[in-house]
Amino acid sequence: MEKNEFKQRSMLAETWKRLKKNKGAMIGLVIVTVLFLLAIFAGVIYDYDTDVIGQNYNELLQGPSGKHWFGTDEMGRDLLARIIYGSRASLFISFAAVALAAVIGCFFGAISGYFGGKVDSVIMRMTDILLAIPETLFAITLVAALGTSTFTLIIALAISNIPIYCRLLRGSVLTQRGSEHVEAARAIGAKTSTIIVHHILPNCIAPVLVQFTLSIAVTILTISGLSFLGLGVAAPKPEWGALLSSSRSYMREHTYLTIFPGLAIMITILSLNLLGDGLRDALDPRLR
Amino acid sequence: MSEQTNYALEIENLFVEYHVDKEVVHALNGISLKLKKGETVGLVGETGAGKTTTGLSILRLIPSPPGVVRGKILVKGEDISTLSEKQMETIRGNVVSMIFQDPMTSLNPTKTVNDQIAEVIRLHEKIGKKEAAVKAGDMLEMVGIPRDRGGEYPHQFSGGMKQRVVIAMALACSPEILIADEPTTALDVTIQAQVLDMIRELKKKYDMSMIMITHDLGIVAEICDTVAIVYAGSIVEYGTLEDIFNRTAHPYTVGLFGSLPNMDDRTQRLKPIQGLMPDPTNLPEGCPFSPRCPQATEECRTRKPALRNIGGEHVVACHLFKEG
Repeated sequence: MEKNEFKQRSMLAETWKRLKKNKGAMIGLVIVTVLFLLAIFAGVIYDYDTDVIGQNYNELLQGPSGKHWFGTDEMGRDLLARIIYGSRASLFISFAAVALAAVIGCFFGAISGYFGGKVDSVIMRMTDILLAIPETLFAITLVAALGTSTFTLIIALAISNIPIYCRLLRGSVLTQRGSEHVEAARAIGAKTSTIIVHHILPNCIAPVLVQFTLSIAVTILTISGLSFLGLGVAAPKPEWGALLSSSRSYMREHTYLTIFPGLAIMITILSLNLLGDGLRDALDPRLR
Repeated sequence: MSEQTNYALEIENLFVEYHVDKEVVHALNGISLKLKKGETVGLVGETGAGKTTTGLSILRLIPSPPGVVRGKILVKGEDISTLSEKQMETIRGNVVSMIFQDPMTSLNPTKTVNDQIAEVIRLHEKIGKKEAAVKAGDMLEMVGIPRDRGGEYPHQFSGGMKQRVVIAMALACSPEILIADEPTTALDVTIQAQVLDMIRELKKKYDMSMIMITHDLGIVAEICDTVAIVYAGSIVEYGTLEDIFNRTAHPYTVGLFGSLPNMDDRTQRLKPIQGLMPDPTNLPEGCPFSPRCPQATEECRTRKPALRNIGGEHVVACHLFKEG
C-alpha cells in the first residue's frame, strides 16, 4: 500500500493545490466567500425590520459617515444594510437559476451530442426555439403568467439559460465522442454511462465553468432589470438592481446611492470571473 | 465456454459494409481467419484494406448504423453476435483486448495514468479501489514504468511511455486474445523495437493469442507465427511465416516485398505496386487486385478467385495457382 503513495491525494486536493497557486483565483475565492458569509449572516449584523426596511426620517439622504458607512437612502435606511440584505436575493436567485440551467442544459446537451440522430435534432430545435426568445422578455412573460415570486423568477431565468449550456456541451461532447480515448474506453468494456460520466464529461467541463460565472453575472443584471420593472423582488425588500433603480432620481446630488450598489454588482461579477477562470485552469491537468 | 475448441478465435466469412447515403462501402468482403491458442497472426495490408475494421468487429465495435456486419465471429467457440451488449462488455478488455494505434490520443487526458489502468481492472474484477490501484501499479512496473509515476497525467509521458501505458491497460485483465492495431506506428524506430520486445515477452508470459495488425513486414517477421495478407477487404494469401516470406505466391504479396528496400543491393530501385487500392464503394468484378496486377488475365478480370490451398496451411486467392 505504501508504495502507491500518490493515490492518497484525491482529485479535489489536487485541484485545490493548483488553485492555490493562482493569485487571481484566490482573490476571487476570498471575495465570493465573504459575500456568501455576509449574505448568510446578514441577520446577525443587521435587524431586518429596523435597519433594512425601517424608515428613519431624521437621517434622510446622508452621505457616508462613521455611523452609516455607505450613507442612507431617501427613506433614511442604511445603504450598507440594504446592500448586504440585497445580496441574499441577488446571489441566491442567480446561483439557483444558473445552477439549475447548467444541470438541465448539460444533461440534454450530453445526450444530444452523444446519441446524435433524431434525439439530437429534437433537442437542438427546442434549444433553437428557446434561444430565439430574449431572456428578459421571456422572464417577464413567465412572471406575468405565474405571478411574482422568487420561485417563478428562478424558473424563468433557468429556462432561458438552458439552451446555452445545451449547445455548449453538445459541441464538446461531439468532439470528445469521436476521440480515440473514448473508443479505447469502449474497447476495455466500459458501459455507456461510464463513458459519458468518466471519459467525456471531465473533458468538457472547462467551457461550462467559464460560462457558469459569466451567466451568473448576466443573471444578476437581468434580475436587477426585472426588479426595476417591478417583476423581480417586491418593493421594500432590497435587491441590488432595485437599489440601483430607486437611486436614479437622486443620482445628481447623492451619487453614492448609485455607486455602492453598482460596486457591489461589479465586485461580485469580477470575483466570480476570476474564480471561474482559475477553476478552469486548475481542473485541466494539461495547464499547470 | 459452450464447446471445446483449439481456436481462440474463429472468423467465418465476415462481411462489413457501411451504408453511407446511397453508396455502400464494402469494407470487408468475406474474411475467414482462425487463430490458435497462443499463436500470433499478422494482418498485413495497405491503408484502408480493412485491417482495423477486422479488429473492431471482433470487439463488436463497428458503429451501427451505418455499419452492417454479416458473418460469424467465434470467441473461444462462442458466437459473439448472439451476445447481449452487457455480455459483450464483459468480453471487451477481459477476454479480448485491443491496443490502439495512436497512444497520444487513446488515453483520457483528464485522468491519471494509474486511475485509467485501475478502471479496466475494476470494470472486470470485483475488487476495491485500493487493490485495483495497487494492481495498476504492478501493471505499470511490468511495462517498465516506475509505479510512482502512476499519479501523473498522460501529457507528462513521452509517446513511447504512453504506448506502454496503453499496453498495460490492454493487458490489465490478462485477456486471452490481444488485438494490436499498429502498436508501433506512432513511435520512433528505437522505441518500436523496445515495445515489440515487450509485447512478445508479455504474450509469452500470459499465453495470449494475438492479432498483430500492421503494414510493416519487418514487424511481421519478428513477431508472427502466421500471416494473412489483406487486400480490399479480403484475405488474398495466408500461411505460416515461412510460407509467406520464402514461398511468396500472390502477386500482391510479391509486390509488397518488392516495395521494400533491398539491404544487400542498395543501388536497386524500389518496385512499388502501380496504382491505388480500388474504391471500396465500387470494387472490380473479378479479382480486386486485377487492375494493378502485372500478371492479370482475362479470367482475373471477370471471376473472383477463391482461396485455394497450395501446400500445408498456405492458401492463396489467385487464378495463377492451382490447388494442391
